Amino acid sequence: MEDLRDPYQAERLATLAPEAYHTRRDFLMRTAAAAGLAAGLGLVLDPDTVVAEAARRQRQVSLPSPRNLPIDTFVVLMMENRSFDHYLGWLPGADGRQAGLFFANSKGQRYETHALDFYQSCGFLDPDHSWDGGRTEMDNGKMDGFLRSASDEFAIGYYTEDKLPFTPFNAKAFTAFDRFFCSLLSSTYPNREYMHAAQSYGEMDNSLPFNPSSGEAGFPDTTIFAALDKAGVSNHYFYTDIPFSALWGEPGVARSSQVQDFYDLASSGKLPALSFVDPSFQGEDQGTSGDEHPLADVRTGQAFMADIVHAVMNGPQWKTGRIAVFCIYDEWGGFFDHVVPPRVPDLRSSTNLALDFGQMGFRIPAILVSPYAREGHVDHSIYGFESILKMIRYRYGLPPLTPRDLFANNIAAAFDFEAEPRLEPPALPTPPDVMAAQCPGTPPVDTGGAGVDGGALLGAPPGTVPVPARKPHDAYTMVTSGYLEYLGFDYKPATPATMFSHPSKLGFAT
Amino acid sequence: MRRPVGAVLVGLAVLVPAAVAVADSFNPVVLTTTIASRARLHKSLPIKVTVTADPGVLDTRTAPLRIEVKLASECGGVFQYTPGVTLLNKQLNPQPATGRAYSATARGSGKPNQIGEQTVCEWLAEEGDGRVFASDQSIQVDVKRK
Repeated sequence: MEDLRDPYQAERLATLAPEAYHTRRDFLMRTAAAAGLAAGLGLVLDPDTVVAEAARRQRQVSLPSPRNLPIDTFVVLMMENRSFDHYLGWLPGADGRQAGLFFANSKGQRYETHALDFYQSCGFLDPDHSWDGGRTEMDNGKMDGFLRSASDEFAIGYYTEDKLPFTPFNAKAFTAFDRFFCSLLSSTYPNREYMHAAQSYGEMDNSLPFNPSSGEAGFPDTTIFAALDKAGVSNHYFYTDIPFSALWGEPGVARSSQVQDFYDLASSGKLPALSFVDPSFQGEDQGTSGDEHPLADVRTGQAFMADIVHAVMNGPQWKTGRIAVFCIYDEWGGFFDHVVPPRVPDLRSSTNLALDFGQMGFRIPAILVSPYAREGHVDHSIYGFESILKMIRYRYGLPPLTPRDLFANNIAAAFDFEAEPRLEPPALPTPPDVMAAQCPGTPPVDTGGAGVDGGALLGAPPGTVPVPARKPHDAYTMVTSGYLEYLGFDYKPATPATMFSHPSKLGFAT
Repeated sequence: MRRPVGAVLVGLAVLVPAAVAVADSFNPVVLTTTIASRARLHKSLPIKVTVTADPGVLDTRTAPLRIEVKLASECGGVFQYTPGVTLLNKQLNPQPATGRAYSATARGSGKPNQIGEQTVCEWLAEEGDGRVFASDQSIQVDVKRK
């Protein structure tokens, strides 16, 4: 039977049976109605225009109803500090730029973007990704300030397709986004807060909501987790070493457990409706964290991402087709990008850019992994972290958390729900669990007293000469401030055994 | 082999009336666009956009709302920095009234200046800071030389 909703089939029918005037008349009138036009207009307007209009409208309204949305399990894996152009600027079909861009520093010296041939950024600055630094880099839309913030030329380096061991394969096997902006033109904490709650509670930086004297320990729990709890929908947060969920105090800690639980639940087909998964953060200053945040060896984080994706693809829930993994980064990390991010409605909008929480941050690498994801596709719609929240809300009938997710585009539109789900997962690489040696001259990593053989994340290789430490990841202040201890959370440094599902292959990079 | 609809009428750019889409609490602002799927190089391409919104949802705006549309190879994050042909860039009339449901329609046109599949990049934004209340990048137009 001809499907009149398909414009190609409709045209074929019209061509093969021109004599069927009445049928055609009916067709045009019904198609006009489908296009939202007065039915009579279908008889006076050009048929192709009517059909094309119907097809466009169908694309725009093709989302299944929430109850019929064939996704009910969501996984959000959030890595750290990489921009779209820096990681995926090479991606075919995407709006990316890498080679041939020039940026001037504050002295007027010009530098060209350059391919990176190393994985661990020992000796370079952690590129500026602060509230003010981001505004310097954006430069009122000129996007030319990436070397005028507190960054060096590492910030305008990029990875080509052949360099990263997992993300390029992941992007080409599923759907990548080239208009996915981090929620806030600022650093890790507020962006992760937007991922959990569609707001940062007025925080512009990595401040802890912790004041023991006043009893303040955490933001009010207005997260997507709390909203799902209220609706009776399962959810959980999985950490590797430091739980960002603790920013919501005791309720946040209560919904958290170590990532080994994620692997177990994935393999047994019991992942909750929503899982947030975070990598290991500690060791940033030595270049040994698992989150891809400079100075980290990005191969470690890539191996972690691969582990999470494989755990889902190899689990029973993949076979149902009803699962989606969003592989995203918390912010751009100070790395160059060429697309100006939009300003959007926010709880704390301001016409003053210096105070505007509605200013989204630069693009990040973002990939949708799902049986319903188009293979090798690049989606060009504008999304942010709140777009994922909106899809979860849509699926489970939850009210908006803030104006952010109220006005956001629903990322469900990126799925292909009209196609058969790909229940046989594509062959993706399993990168060796490379763990770089810590940057030369940095102090030994906090191993929590565990020996290397006992599973310490990284021990200092023989011959390391200690020098003054760089700044650790700001997440570590949850440990050093006593915040986690105050909440009763027993912090343990990540080890290969706690980070990977199969740590036996772990080895130092050369 | 499938042939694109309307291949015999390449370049036709007929504006057709669109029904007023109804916003709802989940999608409080809806952009309903009417534009031909095919256009001819350097020939006028008309567009009509109807904006509908739930009662009160646009009350937080601090300046008049504009509908901004470009035809571009790649949509930027915002109208101003999207290279392409402007199809529509108008202040909406009427503007939303506080607490009321909203509907307004704007029309415009532009002349495509390059061939190939291009995207209709749409933003509903307020003047001044350009804050985007809705956007759409889902519509494609195929521009042919003839």
